[in-house]
Amino acid sequence: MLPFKKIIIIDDDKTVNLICSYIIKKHLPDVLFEAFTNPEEALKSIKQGIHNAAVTTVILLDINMPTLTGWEVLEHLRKMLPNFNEHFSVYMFSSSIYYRDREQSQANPLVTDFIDKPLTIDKLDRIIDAENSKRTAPTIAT
Amino acid sequence: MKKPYKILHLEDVQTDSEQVAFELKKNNIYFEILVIDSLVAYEDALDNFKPAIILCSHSMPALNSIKALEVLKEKKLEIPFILITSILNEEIVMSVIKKGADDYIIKDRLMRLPFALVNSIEKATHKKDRKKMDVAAFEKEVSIKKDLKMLSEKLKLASKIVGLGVWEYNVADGIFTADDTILQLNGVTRNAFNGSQLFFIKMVHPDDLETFKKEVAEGAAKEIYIITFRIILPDKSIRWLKSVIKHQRNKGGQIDRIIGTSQDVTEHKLRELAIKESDEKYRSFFENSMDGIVLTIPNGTVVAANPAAQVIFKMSEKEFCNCTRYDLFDYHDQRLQPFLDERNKNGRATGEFRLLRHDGTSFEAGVSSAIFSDANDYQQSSLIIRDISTRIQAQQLILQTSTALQNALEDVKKILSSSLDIICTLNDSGNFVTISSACKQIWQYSPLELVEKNYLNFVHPDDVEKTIQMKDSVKNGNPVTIFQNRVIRKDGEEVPMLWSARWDQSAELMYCIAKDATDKVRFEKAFEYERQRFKEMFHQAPSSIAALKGKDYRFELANNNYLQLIGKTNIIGKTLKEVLPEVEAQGFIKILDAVFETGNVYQANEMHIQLANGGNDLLSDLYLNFIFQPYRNQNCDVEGIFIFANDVSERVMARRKALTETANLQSILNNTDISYILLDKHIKIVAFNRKANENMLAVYGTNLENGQYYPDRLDNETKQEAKGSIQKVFAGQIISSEVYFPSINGQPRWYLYKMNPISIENNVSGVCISAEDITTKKEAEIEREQITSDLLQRNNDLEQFNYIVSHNLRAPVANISGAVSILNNKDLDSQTKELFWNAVSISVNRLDNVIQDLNTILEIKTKQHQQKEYVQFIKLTQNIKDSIAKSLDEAGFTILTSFDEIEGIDTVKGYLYSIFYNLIINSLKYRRHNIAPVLSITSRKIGNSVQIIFSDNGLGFNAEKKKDQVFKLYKRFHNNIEGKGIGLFIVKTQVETLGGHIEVISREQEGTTFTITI
Repeated sequence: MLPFKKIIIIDDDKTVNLICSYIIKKHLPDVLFEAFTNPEEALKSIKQGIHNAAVTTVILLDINMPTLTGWEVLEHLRKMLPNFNEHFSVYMFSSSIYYRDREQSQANPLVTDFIDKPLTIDKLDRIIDAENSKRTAPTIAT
Repeated sequence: MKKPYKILHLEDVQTDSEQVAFELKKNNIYFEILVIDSLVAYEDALDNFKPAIILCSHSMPALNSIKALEVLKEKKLEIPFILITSILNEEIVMSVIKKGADDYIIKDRLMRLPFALVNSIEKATHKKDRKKMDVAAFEKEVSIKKDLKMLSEKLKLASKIVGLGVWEYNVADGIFTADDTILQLNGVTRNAFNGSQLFFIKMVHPDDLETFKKEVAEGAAKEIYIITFRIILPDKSIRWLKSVIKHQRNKGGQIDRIIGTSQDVTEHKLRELAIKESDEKYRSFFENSMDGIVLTIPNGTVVAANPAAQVIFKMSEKEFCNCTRYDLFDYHDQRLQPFLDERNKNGRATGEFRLLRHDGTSFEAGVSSAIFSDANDYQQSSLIIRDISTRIQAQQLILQTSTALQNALEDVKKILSSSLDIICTLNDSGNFVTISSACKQIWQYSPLELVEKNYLNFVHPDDVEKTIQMKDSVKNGNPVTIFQNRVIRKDGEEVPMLWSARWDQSAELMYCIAKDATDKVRFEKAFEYERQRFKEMFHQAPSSIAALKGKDYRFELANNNYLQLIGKTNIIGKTLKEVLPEVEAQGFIKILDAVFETGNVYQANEMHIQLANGGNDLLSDLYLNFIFQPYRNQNCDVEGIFIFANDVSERVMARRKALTETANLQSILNNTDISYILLDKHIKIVAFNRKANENMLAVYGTNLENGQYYPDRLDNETKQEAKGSIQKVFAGQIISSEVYFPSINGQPRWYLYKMNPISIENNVSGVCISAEDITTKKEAEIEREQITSDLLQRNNDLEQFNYIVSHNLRAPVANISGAVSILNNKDLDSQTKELFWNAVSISVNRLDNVIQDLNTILEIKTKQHQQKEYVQFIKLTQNIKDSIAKSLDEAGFTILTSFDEIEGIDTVKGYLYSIFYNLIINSLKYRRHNIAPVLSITSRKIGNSVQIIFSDNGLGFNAEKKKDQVFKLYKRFHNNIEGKGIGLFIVKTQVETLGGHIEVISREQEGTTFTITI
């Protein structure tokens, strides 16, 4: 069974969203998919969808966007939902080959990983593996 | 051993349960925990694990807190229950608490858990205990009521003991009741009391009555108030009372009853007055004391100084408050430390030492000091100071006078004994009282033979009569200067005597001087004396003396000094030319000839002469003060010449050397560009060089003068700083600082100030202040910093540029790669194929655009040196307006221009065109649609620069947040308006290429203003 039920992509580039939509729908037909070109709208939608908290959601977040950068979106998420890590897993998603973006992603505890564009099946599998290894069973401690 | 708390934890997330356990361990809570996440496990644990407390996460897939509480209720278990929730949702928390939870904890506030856990467990334990206690409660209540009654009795007794009287006035029926204590306080018996409140008011002291009435009237509005007043008792004694008065009001707010307590506070009040009086006494002493009084606190700050101290120190009270005792004491004075030691040891001390005035002068003072605590227990120390400089001066004067007196007395004795004349005193009856030893010589009687004898016994019988007459005349106040008589010597010979005499009425003595009128003795003695004196003078004289006789200048006399000077012996009888052949060539014979012929004295100071005085022919340089004095024979003809000579060679040479050294030093000091000022230990200027004076003139417009108090030359701010620094230098420090002057002769300057102590035998006796103009060095330093910061900025820009370019080149490439990999699938339907081919085509176009942008930018950056020409702003604007007239019309866009102040500039036309174009297009693109869009372009002249200001009423942006971003490549703030984010980057690059800079201010929904300065 998949460790998540939904993927949200936030990227101002429509072409990127088109490619992602095709790849995800083809390889993970059961997963819900939603794409936003405007980060503000994405935030609004995530906030409203919080009641559906039992579902774990993967977010692919572009870094370079005109109104809000990916980092700013992340900051908004953190403030809006103090424990959003419980239900969301964020992947920074960028065409950038700039080393700082990668470093910054690794340093940020709210980010699970950095994925460079374009999205491929291999990269999708990598996300599934990462999400699987996050889940663990309860134990008894003394 | 204590049992562990048994904790049942309902939680499905392992990290959360681990964190709970960690938090409890961290707080040393001894526990056993079972973590479960299903209903079955829960019910089982309640039966078998028997927890002391339940911690429950709000929602788990198989169980939630509401359900858990319901199970607990069904089982009729009273186990404390704490909800642990990740979000603070009040609704959830309230509903769970209603269901019976004891407490709740937010997950990221887990630190509160240990406390809440222990608290809930203890509360539950108490709850069980309380049930057992209910029966005992009733018995307890009865016993409490009993105690309460006893307590009220005790209270009454207590108030009686402290003398607290209670009274009550019922306003409705006018009845005034008072207890025994009240009557006692007022000195009346119950029988005398008539039951009216007026009874007591009549007893109020007439002086306090008005205040009393006023306070009561004001008090009526309050719930409770206190008044203090005097009363006169029937026995006429006066007491102070303090009453606390409380009002009780009915529902309408009217006063129903007034209840009050009264207490005799006379003792307290009298003490208070006594303290006040003593304080006033002290104050008056402080203000009027003739001695200076200064109060300080332990850190040395002066807190008060009386008028006398202000006079002694020549300081105002304000100046006192700005100084500490360290400013008053002269720490160089050896007597100070023992005084301070004694004061610290015994709490008080007296002593005499030097104190410093505000103007830097010092004075001798008698000081007594004590450490005491004031009324508030703050430690202070007092200094009582008396200026004793006058006293010490007087003491020294007395000492001087008495020494002078002693010397005078001794002189008198000497005169008396060495005098050739007889000096004597006679009493009223004519007996000798004192007589000088000359009597032995003249009269052959020793003083002892004459004392207490009557002088008439020695006067020649024929002269007795006139001598008595003369004595009476003298006694009547007519002093006599010449009176002649004869005295009979011991051997019977008569001696003629000349007397002078005067009568001193206060001493009742006649002072007489008697001379031997024959004079023979006198001359003999005088001649011998003179001869001796000449001989001594001649030989002992510090000068070199010689006498030359005749026209050929033969040596007749020469003293030892002279022989030493010329380095010869056996010269008497030889001629000057024989003895000193070298002087003729130096012109000395000619001088002597002139003296010999004219008879005039020749005098010369510090005359240069060369003498072979070393025993060989070598000449040595000498400087002499000369006198050539002719002497004459009985016929008044010049017979010879005295030579008086003083060797001043050493002095002259030393002075020349010193002068040369001083001149050298002076020339170094006056030609250096460093200014120097020397201060003595009173911080007064003792020397300064030319540069120092120039600087002083440039900064303060005044000249330096020796003897000035240096800090007075500075402005107030610098003064305090300089004083502090100089104090440190006196303590041995070397001070160095860089100081900035905004304008010296119209130029900003930097100076390096150094202060060095001038030490003589390990004592700092002064300060050397030097100031060096380091402006050039400093400017170079600042320029270097500027270049470094520019470089950093450029480097940053480059990195940013690099980042943007790589991202924007990579983005379309990534898209192409993604789309192509999809298109590679064989089984795509035609619609999908079309979709992704289209995506490839869009991305290829984007890539092309980016590459074209890059080309534009690189073109600007590489072609830096373009031909400049004069460009008129108005024409340029018109050209652009024409080229985009259609877009402007459609938008109803207005461009207002004002280029009156400056109409155009010499510049690269293409760039300025691009700048104007981009900024106009920018305003057009980001206009507000609900308002008529206006852009105003204005030019201004600022110094040597030109400013062009573009101000619109468009969408604007949050400049505080985005200011750094606005000029960056591919940065856009608006989602719904087409734009590449390259326009402003190009504008900025072009402005900078033209050597200018651009700034922006903006507010969202108000407008944007770009200011270009070239």
